[in-house]
Amino acid sequence: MNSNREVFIETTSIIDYIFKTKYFVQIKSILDNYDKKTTAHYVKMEIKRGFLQYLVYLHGKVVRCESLGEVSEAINKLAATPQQHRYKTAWEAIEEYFKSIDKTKPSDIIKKYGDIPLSQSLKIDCEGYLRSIIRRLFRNVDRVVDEIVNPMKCFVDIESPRELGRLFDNTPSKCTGSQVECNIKQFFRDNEEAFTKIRDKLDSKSKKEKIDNETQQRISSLHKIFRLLPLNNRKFSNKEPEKVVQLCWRCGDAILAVTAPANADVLNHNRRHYDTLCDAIGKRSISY
Amino acid sequence: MPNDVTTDAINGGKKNSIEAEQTKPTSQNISYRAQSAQIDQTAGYSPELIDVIKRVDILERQAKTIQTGSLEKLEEKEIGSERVSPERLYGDESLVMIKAREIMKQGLSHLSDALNSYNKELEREHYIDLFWNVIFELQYFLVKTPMNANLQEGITMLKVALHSNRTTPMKRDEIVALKIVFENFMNNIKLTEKILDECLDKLEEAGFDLSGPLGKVEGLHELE
Repeated sequence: MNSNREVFIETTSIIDYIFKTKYFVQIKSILDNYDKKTTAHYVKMEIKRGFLQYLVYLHGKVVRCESLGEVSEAINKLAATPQQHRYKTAWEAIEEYFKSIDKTKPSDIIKKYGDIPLSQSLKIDCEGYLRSIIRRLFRNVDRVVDEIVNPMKCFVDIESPRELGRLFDNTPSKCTGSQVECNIKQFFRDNEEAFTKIRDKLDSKSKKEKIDNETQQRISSLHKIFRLLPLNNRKFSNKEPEKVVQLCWRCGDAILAVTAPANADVLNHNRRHYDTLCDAIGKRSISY
Repeated sequence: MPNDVTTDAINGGKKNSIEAEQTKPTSQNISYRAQSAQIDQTAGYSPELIDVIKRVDILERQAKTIQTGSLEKLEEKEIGSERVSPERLYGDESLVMIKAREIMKQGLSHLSDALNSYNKELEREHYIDLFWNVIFELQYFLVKTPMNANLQEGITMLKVALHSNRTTPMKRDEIVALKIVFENFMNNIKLTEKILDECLDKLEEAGFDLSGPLGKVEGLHELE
């Protein structure tokens, strides 16, 4: 048994664990070493505005399009970015999966009921599957951990997407839509020392080696946040313009590293980023 | 109830049976005994026609009861065990539901057989294959008359659960979980989200992987 008995699970790891990707066994063996598993409300927020948003988009397309071919067409017409490529990959996996199941349909049932057009049958399965994943995602997050911490009172009214007829409504997916003014500025003030250490460590790293774009954005966001902190008239909250909200998301990994309870190890799937962040504030990064 | 009833057949059958009903001498006596006698007269009719005639008769009796205000008396003396029949509970959807329940009963029977023959590996796996057929049959049957989005989701997720285990011999706990879940579906055809979630939790606890195709996609977290 590990002497440090609490583990904090960040966003990627929790998704890998819930969806039993090839890392599931590895993650499980790590988690089994701990007595207590924790995550943050902020993780749910990241899931809601990222992964869940995509699933809701996909589900909506399946409901509205006449065939799965049209769903592919819709995805193909999204802006050509690396993200679009990932969307396509995920959608193709879903489509292929249910096509392969459909191939196993018993012939006597077709004789008895007449064949259902493939598009209709696949639509039913894809819709049902996506509905299940969307509906149950937060429930599954809750089941994985023992506690969900929210020291910055971020988006306390977060909820699973709501069903509107056959569609889902995932709003508000950004803090600006929330009715609650989050306390992220106060969180930065309360943890100014930790964030300062992270900023300085990243600054120093950027001078020594070439850093990736995400780290560059994190450094820049942290600098901007520190400039805002002393200004009492500038709210750093979800009531602020989009630009300020982005500052928060861009240093999400740093926020999560700080949010992890003091005695907890931080389980992550991004050694490159988390090792530095955790090292700066004296926490242990556990990567797989 | 025949095995080859489709929703179309039911709809068509209903129309025909009502016409047939109109040509028959209509008894003014609405007692249950009289109804039984009336059904006896339909000996030459197909089973689905008889079902529909029976249902029309129940509706007529209900209408009559409302007119005469003798509801209590009728329920007490004439309806008896039919008080909680699916027809009374679910109205127009009842025939589809009855048929769906019948398909589900068949599925449950396969699962019971799989448990009973658990130690005979090939028999057990054969019954699981037959259960797989039933899942398809249920989906085919319900496709033209979607009963309930939760039930549709439940059926799809059963397919996902079984598909993920297709190359692995079924464990006893898994069969038991399937049986509990399917029994729940059968007894709650108008499935609530709460019951559905409990059922899916049960499948996961038994070891079924419900992550389906997304479980095979790498870099899921990058879908932002």
